[in-house]
Amino acid sequence: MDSVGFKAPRQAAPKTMTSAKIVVAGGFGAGKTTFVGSVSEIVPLTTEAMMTDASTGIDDTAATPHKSTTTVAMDFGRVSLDEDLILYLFGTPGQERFWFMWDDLVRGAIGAVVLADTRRLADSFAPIDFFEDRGLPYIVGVNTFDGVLQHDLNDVREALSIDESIPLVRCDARQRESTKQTLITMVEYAMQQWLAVRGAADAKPVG
Amino acid sequence: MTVAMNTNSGFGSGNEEGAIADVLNGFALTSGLRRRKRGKRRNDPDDGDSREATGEQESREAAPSSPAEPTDVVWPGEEDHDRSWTGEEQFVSAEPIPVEPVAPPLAAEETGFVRPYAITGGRTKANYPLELETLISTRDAAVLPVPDQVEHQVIMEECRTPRSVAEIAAVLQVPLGVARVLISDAADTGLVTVHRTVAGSENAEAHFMLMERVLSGLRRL
Repeated sequence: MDSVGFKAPRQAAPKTMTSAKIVVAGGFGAGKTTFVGSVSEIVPLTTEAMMTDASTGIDDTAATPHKSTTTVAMDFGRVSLDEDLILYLFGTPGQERFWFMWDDLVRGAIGAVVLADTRRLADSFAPIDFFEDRGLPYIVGVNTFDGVLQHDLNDVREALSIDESIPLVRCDARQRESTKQTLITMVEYAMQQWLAVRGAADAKPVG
Repeated sequence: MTVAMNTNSGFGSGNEEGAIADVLNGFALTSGLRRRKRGKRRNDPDDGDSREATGEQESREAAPSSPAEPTDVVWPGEEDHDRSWTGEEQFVSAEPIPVEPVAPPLAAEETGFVRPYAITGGRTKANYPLELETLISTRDAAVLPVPDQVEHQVIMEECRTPRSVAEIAAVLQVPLGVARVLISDAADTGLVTVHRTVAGSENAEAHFMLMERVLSGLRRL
């Protein structure tokens, strides 16, 4: 695993640290973990939550009241951007019915990258709906497996029925540079959205 | 334990009960209560193994030994639906005798299962706003005592360089909710510092500045 990014000196950790979070969504096999791993300085870790943590009223547990340990796992990676700034990339859990986990994921997130696999485009619908519902800025990355783009991007946009303003980019999840560019596009778009919503007057210009 | 007593009382009361039970045990089970108890104790730490055996044995045993307790019978197909029920069921069943059944291999995580919130004493609330990405770092270690709980030792070791809540949960291999309580405890006892997390909704300006910093950081990569 390539180790990239800023290496904080081990002893002299600064007093105050800041962290940020970007969500990486997409259907099973869309390349989420590959995407995270291509830019992460650590081998993507897995953490899990239990359904009992927050799922009351979401998953129907009435039929199995003693089944309290359903777990849902998600992969994540870390990128140190500065000596006091760490970016975390969280891949969404594969099973879309575990929505409770997504609340933890999107709270305070900068935005999301929805990785689309053109062979299974319908897998992207649920994450897109969710982010639109929560007002989380997102862009769509069409993962070009083996470097081949199977479809015209405009066709993909139409098939996903997403707004013209939402960036739709092609990316290769295995390539660090491609992942980095996708993330940059995402953050730039999130900042534009932020300005559009809150008005440019009370913020410094982007750049 | 109470279930075992109920089974016996089904046969009547007093000496008669004991006599009948002995006879039945002698004929039908060849071993009797002593063996039952041993079986029960043996079953306790590892309920996975015995569940299979219980199901089989129970259906065989039902007719001779517990006519008054039809509800005790658990058919083999039912066990998976309701664990705690079969947990009680073990008390009244004997292990299969004399053939020790070869239980089908169980998934590794089934054995030695500890309820995750047992580590937190059943508590589920953290005293700090601990997001997935919230950073935790160990306080200056020179003056700190070694904590009793092994999880806190791991947290202190891990957070010598700042680590996120998600990373700590992954290293401890506990669910996120459990990690939050453990971290909260460690912070309460002054072992670690919880760094401030910029949440978009609460502080919009700070969130925008954070995005700017992330953007320039990504460009530098």
